[in-house]
Amino acid sequence: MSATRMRWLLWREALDLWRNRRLFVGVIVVPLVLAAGMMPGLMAVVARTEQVVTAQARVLKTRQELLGERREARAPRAPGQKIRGGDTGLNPLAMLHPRLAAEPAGRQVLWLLVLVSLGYITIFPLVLPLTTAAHAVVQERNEGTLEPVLATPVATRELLLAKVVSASLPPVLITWLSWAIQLTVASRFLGWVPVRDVLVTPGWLLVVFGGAPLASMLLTLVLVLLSARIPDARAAQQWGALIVLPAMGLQMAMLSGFVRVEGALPWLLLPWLLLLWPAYRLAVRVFDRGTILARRR
Amino acid sequence: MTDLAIRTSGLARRFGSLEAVAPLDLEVRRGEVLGFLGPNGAGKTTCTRMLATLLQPTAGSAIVLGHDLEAGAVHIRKRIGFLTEQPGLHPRLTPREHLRFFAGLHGLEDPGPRIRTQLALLGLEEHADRPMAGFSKGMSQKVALARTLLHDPELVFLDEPTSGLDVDSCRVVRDLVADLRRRGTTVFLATHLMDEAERLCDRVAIFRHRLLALDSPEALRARFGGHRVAFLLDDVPADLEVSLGEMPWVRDFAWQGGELMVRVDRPDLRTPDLVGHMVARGARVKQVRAATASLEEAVLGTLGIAPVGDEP
Repeated sequence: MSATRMRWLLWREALDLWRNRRLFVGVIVVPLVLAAGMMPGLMAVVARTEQVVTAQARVLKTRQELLGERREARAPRAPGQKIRGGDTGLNPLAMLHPRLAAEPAGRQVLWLLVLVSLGYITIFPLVLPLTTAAHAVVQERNEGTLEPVLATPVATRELLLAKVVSASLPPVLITWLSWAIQLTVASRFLGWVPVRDVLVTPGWLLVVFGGAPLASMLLTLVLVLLSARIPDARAAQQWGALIVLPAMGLQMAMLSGFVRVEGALPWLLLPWLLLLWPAYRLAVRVFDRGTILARRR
Repeated sequence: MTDLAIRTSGLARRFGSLEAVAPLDLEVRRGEVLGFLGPNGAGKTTCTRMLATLLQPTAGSAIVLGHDLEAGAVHIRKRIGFLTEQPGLHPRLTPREHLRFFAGLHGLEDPGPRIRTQLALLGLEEHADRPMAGFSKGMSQKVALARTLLHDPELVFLDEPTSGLDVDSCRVVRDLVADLRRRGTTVFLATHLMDEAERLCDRVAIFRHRLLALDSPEALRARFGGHRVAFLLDDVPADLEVSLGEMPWVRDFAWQGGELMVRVDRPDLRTPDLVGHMVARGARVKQVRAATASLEEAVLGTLGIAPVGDEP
């Protein structure tokens, strides 16, 4: 493994990503705009609405209290009957984080927004590599730029490692950056201490800093493995989407509280982590230069 | 050190049921320019890719620059240059960045001066810092050539280097190949352009899935084109062609560019007889000249394709 060649391969990939407007916008700009713009914007709207509603509610509450007191005076309360305070009913937040169900209604909406957008961010490592990996191998092969590189002393393991790193690193960095943005914004509206208690937990940290790179790299490797058989970048993305669908389903189930795996999360990630090295070795083994070139369109 | 740059023995490649390259035995000497001639789809690119270690053979073996094709692939790739059929440029990079990238892959120390030299040699200096996305085919091919020669390879594979280029760009490529020959670099030139091969190559291999002939262009012309005599005639009698066809020493004849081209084995002996025969039939012989077969005719003859003739 030559460090110099690796450096040049990564330099070229980074330059290409930087200058490829479509790829750059799709992989870097759009996710960041959504992370930095959508959730803070929604939270600001909700927070502002909550202030208005709270003010109105105060007026209403005074009226209701007055009315209620009059009614109470007229009809005595039956034992166990609720008169004040809301009936929690089906509270989605209670399913996600039972401790948050005790928060006031306005803050509950804010918490829900934070958790939904964090769920959205954790999909980045599963979705963004579909674009970067498809571009890295299949599209480059079809553009004919892979063949001259293959004719240099670059070893297959170097080329693939550079492809895997360059295709999986931007989605991972975007995920981390978006995560930091979300925490900052959430702290601004909900306060740092509760945010830290709910979101900076071992489970979340494991998902963001362990699961995200793992998913991103594995997906890239799978697309590299498939690249010899896939005719174009769009088909590669479709195949990739088919592969990530079960993972996304599990993630959605976890985020919506239907599946609870906090304690088992490390054990859930471990097999995939152990799979990473053999998958890389397999990709190096099956990356047949001839087949890759013969499949070129 | 052996004086052979390439030696193949039974090198073959199949794609499923298609035999792209039948077992090939070929020797290419160091410093020579070998033309690898054949029609489109003849397996030239497959063969070139195998020799450049990009494609594994399904049978046979080869020694390239003293290294076994399979065991020494990385060593071979360090010392060869491969101009692919498509320029294969990264459209969002500039020529300078593209060359810097490939210099890095070849492990060249301080490649700046080399890059500048290559850019100047191919007249690319003023475009050196523009992204290559909008480059013409000619300019793209020049950048690809600069990339191929950047690390000063001992053996250069050129796969259809002038395909689709304008006259000026073709000249640049030909000058470059001539320069490589002067410097003693071995060149493996896969092309379907006979003129290119005839001008540039020391030897020519005629190939269509298998090696059909291998010799110098002159020898091939003599061997497969034969000796021909061109007659410019007036008052051509109707039965002239029939009578020529009956002469046992006339191998064949055809009208080309208003001239009757007659192929015979001994033109020095047979030309007076032919003139006499034509005059006796009432033809006016205005001009007689010895015509050498072109390499194209030799190749077409080898491939079993009849040259396109015309009527008188």
